[in-house]
Amino acid sequence: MRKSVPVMGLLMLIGLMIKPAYAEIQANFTPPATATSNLRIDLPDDMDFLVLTKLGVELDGIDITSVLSLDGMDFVYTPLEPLSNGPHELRLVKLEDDGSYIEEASWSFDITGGAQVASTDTTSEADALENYLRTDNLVELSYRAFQHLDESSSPKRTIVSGGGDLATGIRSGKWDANFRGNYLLQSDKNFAQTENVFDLGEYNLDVNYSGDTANTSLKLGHHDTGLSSHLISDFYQRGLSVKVGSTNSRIEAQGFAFNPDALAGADNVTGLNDKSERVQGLSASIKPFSSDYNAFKITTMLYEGKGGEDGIGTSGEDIVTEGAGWGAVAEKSFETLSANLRFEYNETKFDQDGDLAAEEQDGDAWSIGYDARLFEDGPIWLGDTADITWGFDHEEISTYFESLANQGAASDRKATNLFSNLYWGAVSSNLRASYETNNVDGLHNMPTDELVTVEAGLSYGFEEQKDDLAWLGTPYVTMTAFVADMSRKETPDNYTGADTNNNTESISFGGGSNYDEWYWSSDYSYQQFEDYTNTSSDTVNHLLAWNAGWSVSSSWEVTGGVEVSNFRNETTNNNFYDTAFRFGSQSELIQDQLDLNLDYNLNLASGSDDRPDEYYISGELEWNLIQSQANRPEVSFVTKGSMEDKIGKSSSTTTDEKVYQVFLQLRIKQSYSDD
Amino acid sequence: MTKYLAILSAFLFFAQSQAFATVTNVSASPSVANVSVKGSSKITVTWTVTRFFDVAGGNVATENITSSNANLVINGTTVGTLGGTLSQSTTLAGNETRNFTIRETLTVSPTLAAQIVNAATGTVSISRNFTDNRGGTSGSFNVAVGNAPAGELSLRRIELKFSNNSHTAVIRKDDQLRAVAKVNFRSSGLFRGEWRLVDPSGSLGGGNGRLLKTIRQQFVSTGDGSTQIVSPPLPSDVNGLHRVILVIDDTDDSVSAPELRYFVLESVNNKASAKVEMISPADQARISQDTVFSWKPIRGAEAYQLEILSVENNQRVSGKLVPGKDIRMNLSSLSLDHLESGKRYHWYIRAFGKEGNVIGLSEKQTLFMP
Repeated sequence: MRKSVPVMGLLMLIGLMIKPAYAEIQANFTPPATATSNLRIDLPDDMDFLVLTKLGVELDGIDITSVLSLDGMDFVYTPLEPLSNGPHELRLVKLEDDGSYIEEASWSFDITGGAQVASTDTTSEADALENYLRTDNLVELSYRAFQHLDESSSPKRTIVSGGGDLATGIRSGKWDANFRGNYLLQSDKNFAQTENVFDLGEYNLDVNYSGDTANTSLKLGHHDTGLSSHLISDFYQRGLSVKVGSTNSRIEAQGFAFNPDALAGADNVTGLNDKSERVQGLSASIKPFSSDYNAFKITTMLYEGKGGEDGIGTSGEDIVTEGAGWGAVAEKSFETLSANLRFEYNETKFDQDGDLAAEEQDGDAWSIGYDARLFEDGPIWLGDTADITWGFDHEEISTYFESLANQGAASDRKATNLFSNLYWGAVSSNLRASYETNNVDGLHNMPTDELVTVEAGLSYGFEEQKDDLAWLGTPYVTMTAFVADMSRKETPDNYTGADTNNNTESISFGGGSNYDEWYWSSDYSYQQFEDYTNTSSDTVNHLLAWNAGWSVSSSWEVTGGVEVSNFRNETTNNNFYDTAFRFGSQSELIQDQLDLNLDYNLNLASGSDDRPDEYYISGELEWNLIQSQANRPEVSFVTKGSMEDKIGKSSSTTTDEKVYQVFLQLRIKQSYSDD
Repeated sequence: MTKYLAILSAFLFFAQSQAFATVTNVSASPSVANVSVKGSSKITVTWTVTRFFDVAGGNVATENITSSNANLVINGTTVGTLGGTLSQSTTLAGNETRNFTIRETLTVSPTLAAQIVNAATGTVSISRNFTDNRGGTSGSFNVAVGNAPAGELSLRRIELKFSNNSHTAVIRKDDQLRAVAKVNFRSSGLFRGEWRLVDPSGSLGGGNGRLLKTIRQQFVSTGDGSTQIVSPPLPSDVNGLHRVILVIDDTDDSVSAPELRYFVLESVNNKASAKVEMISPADQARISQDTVFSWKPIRGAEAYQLEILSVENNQRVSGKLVPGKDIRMNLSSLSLDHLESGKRYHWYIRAFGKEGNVIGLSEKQTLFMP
């Protein structure tokens, strides 16, 4: 990041207060002319180089020493993002050998006309600005000029399509409201996601009141309940939830109602139109003894509901059609060794086929878990602190435990897990061992199998290599290994089914490196399955992949990769080979005017595999007719197309299939932001 | 003499018209099928029906072999029916015996499964009677409770969503997005599938798009299993509608290929999209100058900034900025001096692109200043 930028003339009013430098170094500071201009610290020309290497610079509490560039004897910093409005502080320090530092100088300066302050709240994804409105939109008028394809299953030749999203928020006193939503446009209704030409995609409305003693929030649209248990988990759907709680989070209550399936469109905007497709419930949590962050906390929850049709992106059976359940979670954290203890218990009733013949089934699930650090202050190994955590958990989920609010949770298992993690410098490793059995309800004519698994993983990130090893760049390596052994524990008398005795092993290695202008990564994995009962085939799978990317210039980037795999059926001696190659190029042929994107993919299947070889090439040339300016749409003319060819094998029935299409498009982009 | 010839002729004629074919044997493969204790189960069975035509000569016998339905038999008693009518046209030459195969997939409903679960072990079977209207016989296979043998993976449900939890996404150019498939299955076996993508050069037209990645992954579970398959990074360098599809090689046709749509557009608005995956330190680490923050690189990152926030008011109190090719950092006393001893703080890392926009964000974690 070595840039030398001349000082720009004043574009807006700047206040400058300069504190006189003290201690040993006489340094002068040139404040930035604008929110995006460089900051420059002028150091003495005769400064000892050794002293120079010990200097550090901090801007608004952020150590920016690593990204400074040196222009003569000046430290120069180019802000990554525009400096915010208001006061800023810059400090120059000298780091001592014992790890301490001496402040050599500090300066304060003001910026006006810069960026508004954005919240750093990463949990809500909403920037907590006072009021804001941002929208991005893109509409394409397309004509499929040349083609060789099955028109009966394709959209019309002339089509209007597009998409966009909107984010807005207001804040007034103790109230704030935020909205985010997206939409899709498709003039050929038969190919629209919701069969409407213009329709809502997903959205979220979040209204909050932050009182002196209580907080209230209402959420409508796509969101999560925030609950995590065997009963309710990973439940991000469209619905409504209302939460009330004390400001110190000591007590909270929530009511919710969701559609159990993934929805889009405005036809069912709340997700709650149909009672037969609804999951509703309540939850409450309390810290009875203290409001500390690690205080003992109990959370209870209950739900009831009915399932519906498969939602977007879902396929298969609806595991639960109708059900109800309740659960409780008790958890406590401890300062000592950062320990955590958690216990939960849940019960469910579920009806597999709604109101049809199958009877309702009862199920229950409980688990207990503990994790902690091994040392309060980790040992220092080779100059880096070692932090070791360990833990165990045991869970029993009965055979008939199913929850509509946690569709597809793995039930009928009794499992005990031991795990440990090591964080040592830039090394991260983990080890996990588990023992699992099924037939938790002890059904008399069902066999019981047992599964033992051991998993391990390792990651390490090197520092940037220098001198003779500079060609290594900034490398990293990863490794994972997995062994699973499954066998029959108990077989019922007169059982006619197959025995169970098999072993699965896998190991994978990965690595890569980053350089100034390019990067590469590589992965190899080996997987083996062996069935000692000889009921199914033994298999071996190898996979090797290599990817790279290169910024040829500031306006041209290429990426590519190769993947080779071999799958062997040890029983039939069939070998399946797959080779995939891809290449991509994104370039700006004329700055802000003409862009070209190309992609090429090749997939070859050989050996015992009768899948066809596939060739695919696509490209897009975009000519910018009207440049975008502040809140003015950008208009482009686009030519794009693709060609794919499938070449069948002589042993298969697949005939050669060639599809190609070329589009002429008028593309209109409109963004608006009041930032 | 003439009388005897007439009688003989009549006899021969009559005997010829009484020639018949018949179903002599029915067998099923597999000989044992497993059903799950809950939900419906699909059993794919191949019936082999042996038919015999007992008269020599040039005559042929063409008949349909049919079976009206399968029966669930427990302890010798038929307790329910399943499946529908099977029929296949068969032609035999004289004195010929031939086997004919008919394949079907039977669905055992939850109600029938409950009856099987409660039956005595070894007493449950499914049978079919095949006839060619002249004669018929039955064949059957045993039914056992529990998961199928290893190698016969049974997929129950697949739910696709994007890595940001949405099912319909509108993202910015060069945003990083992946698709995640939550797969529910029974038994153990090899999952075979493909991630495919139809990009804007084909999403308004035809074709199957391109292969992103072939999946061959072993799934293991004693009871019901659940796992996740993550796609490669989804392309976002071209504006327009993209469709990502998980094509599955599902032998019992219980699941079809789920699909998601995402739309890519240009934007001047800033929103982080990729997740910065941290390698170290652990959550709630006790921090010192020896604590190493390390992470996996994000494509296109020009710089990474560690930010440490007050738990009380979420305000930034300290941090450090490093160039994009660095994937680790330590904090010096310059940064640690802003932290009070005995207090907890939140922290995360932001990745910046070359435009100065935030392109990645790690999860917010906690550290402790001793």
